[in-house]
Formats: sequence, structure tokens, C-alpha cells
Amino acid sequence: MSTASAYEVDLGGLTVPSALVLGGGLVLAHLPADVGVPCPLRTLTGVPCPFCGVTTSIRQAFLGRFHAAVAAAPLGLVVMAGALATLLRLTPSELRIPRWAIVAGLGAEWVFELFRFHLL
Amino acid sequence: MAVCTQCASELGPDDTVCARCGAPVAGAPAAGPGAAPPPPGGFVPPSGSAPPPASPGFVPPPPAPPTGYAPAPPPAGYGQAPGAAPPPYGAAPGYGQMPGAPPPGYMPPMAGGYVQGAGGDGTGLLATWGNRALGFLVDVALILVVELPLYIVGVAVARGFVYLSELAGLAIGIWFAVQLGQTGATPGMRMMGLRCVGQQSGQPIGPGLAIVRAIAHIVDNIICFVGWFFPLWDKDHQTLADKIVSTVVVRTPAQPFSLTPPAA
Repeated sequence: MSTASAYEVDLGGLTVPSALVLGGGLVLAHLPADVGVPCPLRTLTGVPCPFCGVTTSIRQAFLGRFHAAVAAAPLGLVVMAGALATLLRLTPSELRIPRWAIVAGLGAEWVFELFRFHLL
Repeated sequence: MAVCTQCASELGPDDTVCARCGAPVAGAPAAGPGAAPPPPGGFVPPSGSAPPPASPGFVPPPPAPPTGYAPAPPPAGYGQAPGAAPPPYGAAPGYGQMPGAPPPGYMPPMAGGYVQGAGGDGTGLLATWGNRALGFLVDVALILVVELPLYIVGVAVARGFVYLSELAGLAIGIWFAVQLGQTGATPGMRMMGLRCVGQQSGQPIGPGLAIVRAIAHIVDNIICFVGWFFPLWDKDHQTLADKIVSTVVVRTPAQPFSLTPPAA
């Protein structure tokens, strides 16, 4: 990282993970039960982390329930869009994301999750 | 804002080399191997465009810049030697390194911090997420080999064995962390040809900091395990624990499996 104000992302190695995200979502959507990764923070403390609900969100999106997907975690749709863009080669190989944008984005997502679990 | 003439990356005002490609910054003060400041990111990927030779293991580099640990000649600045052929690191007068016979996993310290070129086998390059994951799984498997039988006995026979299994797992985890601190690698990492070093020093981080790093993996776990996946997209291939203690994991020649570090 050459500057402290931006987080440098190397998107070159994300093709396979992107395929796994979308393929995994597709599989999850057709499993009989809602299988998700248990959030360690929520399991231990009851407080969700900013990434809570992403698996559910992706699963709901693959079921066509976009309202439910947003209700679970808007970040899930962002992840899906990013994965799709990566597979379609629409993203640059490198990306510099301002740190304030990361803090603001994850902060907003966390507040959303805290509301969702009635902690705010 | 100045940009690198080689790769067009943005340069900081005080940069003497490009953090992306290692090319010297035009007009920056010349710096020799002993005087170059560490690059901002601590890690400078190898430079050069010539294809590396296919060498089976770590071989001290021939006097050609793209293939090995070669400090840049003083006039050109650190990390890039266009048109010049710096001496191989092992040939430095008084260094005492036997060419052709470095200890396994050896990585010489470089000027101003942890920076190195790649050997012909990729030695010194940042490790891939897949290799790191495999090394981690080997370590976890080793712990489970001890922990699981004790746990099963604990559940089936006597509860005390459950606590014993947890203690055993913790003890082995600490043992592996100490190995990582002292030599840069756990058994699984040695097998996969990985070495954890300080981002600035290029050297193993010591047992104390290695245990702190192991504890810092809590941060990787707590956020739905997302921290473990950071090396997939992070420019320095770091997990959050790596960032907390400023370490990077680089490639070294893989070694046969051994529970303890082989004698140097």
C-alpha cells in the first residue's frame, strides 16, 4: 500500500472465488434448508458482525427474492455484483478503494445488521 | 502526484522506489544496499522482465537482476538494476554465505527491510492463498490427530479427557506458533514451501510475536471468517492477523514433512 488513504485491492486472483460465490449461492438456493455460516461474533456475544447475513442474502437472491436478500444484508448483493463483474472481466485488475469508503460502507452495513437484530 | 515510469503506479512524495514494481524513482536520492529506506508497503515484488530459470530449489542468484536476491547497485537505487548486473547476494565480500548451499528456507536480509527478488522457483514471492490454506490444513490435521482421539475418549469414557484434548490442542498450537516465530514456518508451512516473516525486517518474527499473531487470528474468525480470505484480494496477501503484527508469507522451497524444524 503506497498511501494510507486507500486500500489497494488485487482483483487478479478473484476469478475462482467469484465463481465459487455464485456457484455456491446457486447450490445453497436449491438445498432444502437454509444453510449458512454461523457468525462467530453473534454466536459468542449475540452481536452480529458487518458481514452477517451475506450468505442468506445471496441465497435469497438466487431464489429471486430480492426484497428478502436486501433485508438480510445489502452487502450480499454487492458481493454478488462484484463476483459477476469479476467473472465478466468488467473490473480492473487492481483497485484503490478510499479507506473512508470502506469504513463508511461496512459501518452502514453493521448499523443495518444491528437494527435487523433489534440491537439498535 | 508523481507516477512510476515503469508501471504508472502512484508514488508517494518520499518514495525512492516504486512500491509496485520496485523501479527507482527518477530524481530520487541514490541509495545503496545499506542505506535504502524501506518501501511504503514493505514489500517490493521482483522486477525485471526476463523469464526466471527453472531451478529445482533455492539457488543463490547468478549475477543477473531478475532471478534472485540481488541488491541494486548504489547509483540505481534499490530494487531495480536496469542495464546493470549487481553481484549475487551470496557473493558479497565478507558475507560468509556459501554459494549453492544455503540452509533451507534461507532468506537474506535486504537493505532497508524485507525486500527480495524471486528465485527461479518463485522464492521470495508472496505466497498464494491456496498454498497457505493447504499448509494451514496440514497443521490443523496434525493437531486433530492428537486432539480428536482424546476428545472421543473424553466423551465416551471420562470427561477429563475432553479437557486434556483441549489442553493438548492448545499446547501443539503454541508449539507451532513458536516454530513459526523462530524459523518462519510451521510443519504445514514447511511442507508447502511457505515462510512467515516481518514485513519490514524480512526475518522470522520471534516466538512472542508469533503467539500474538496466532491470537490475532481471532479477528479473522470473528467477522464470519472473512479475515482468512483477505489474502485473496489484499495487495500484500495478508490476513488481518498479518496486518496486526505486520507480517507477510512468502514462498520458499518446500521441504519434506517434519514435525520439528530441520537442523540448519
